[in-house]
Amino acid sequence: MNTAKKIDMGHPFMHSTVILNLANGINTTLKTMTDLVAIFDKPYLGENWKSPTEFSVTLELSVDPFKGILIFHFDKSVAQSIIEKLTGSVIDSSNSAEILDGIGEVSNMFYGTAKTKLNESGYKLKMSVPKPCLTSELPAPVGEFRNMVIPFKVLSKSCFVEIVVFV
Amino acid sequence: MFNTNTKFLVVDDFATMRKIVKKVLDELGFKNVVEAVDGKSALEQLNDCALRNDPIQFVISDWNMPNLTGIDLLKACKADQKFSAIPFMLVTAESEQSQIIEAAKAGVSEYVIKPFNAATLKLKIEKVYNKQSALAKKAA
Repeated sequence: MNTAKKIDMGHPFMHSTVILNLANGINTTLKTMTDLVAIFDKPYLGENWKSPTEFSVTLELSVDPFKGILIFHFDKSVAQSIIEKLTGSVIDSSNSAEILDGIGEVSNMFYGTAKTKLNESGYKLKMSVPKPCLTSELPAPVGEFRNMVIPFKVLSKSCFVEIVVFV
Repeated sequence: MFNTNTKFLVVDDFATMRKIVKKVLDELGFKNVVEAVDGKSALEQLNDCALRNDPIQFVISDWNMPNLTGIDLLKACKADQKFSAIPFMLVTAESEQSQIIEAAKAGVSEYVIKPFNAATLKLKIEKVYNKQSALAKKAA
């Protein structure tokens, strides 16, 4: 008999409230600071899923006793457009450090906006410092986990929110 | 009118946000801006500038940073007589009621929630600056 805990949509990190608030956090941030819009598609469980993007930002998800990882995956041209609109200056597309810094701040706002609303509705999510990296250098989660992928498009390019839940 | 020589300290672990805040300050005419990447290095800057007789006169800080957070930096400033009168703004994605209350109790001058638009940030900086100027005039 398999005794591993199954993840279902009833898991607190995979609940529709989380998905809706993350989508709202992304759109509120983009609208307020860049006048861009994210168009969301249906989430799915992503067994063996690998993000096709160039840049990612991880944040710890923690509500006792649950632990997980929240990852924002950015298409390079989207990341560049967001940062250029944020700062009002053109960035060098070969300068990964500038892009990583920018998406780190943007993800901080995505998560902060969602966290505030989620905590108002009973979650007790803790603060987390965003860690940006190249998607190709994203460390693999350690231990048994399941993940959910929430696809969205900005400027017609694919980006993703990934929620990793440890079991 | 602003004294455009007012010395600002902008504290954020992300250079992008420091750039955004500096751009707003620049548009308001403030050019004398130094930066720090976290609360710990901000405290060092505050002390260094005070020792050089070129004190920081306004702090704009993020909350969520490694080493020393913005709220701990605010508390450290308010606990130190050298820095307690410096206007201190938090610009942060932390916007839960309990956090806003904690910041108010700690003596924050103004609280700006990220994401924000530049006009909002400008207005709040002006508000804090004008209040501080009025207090200084009254004391003189």
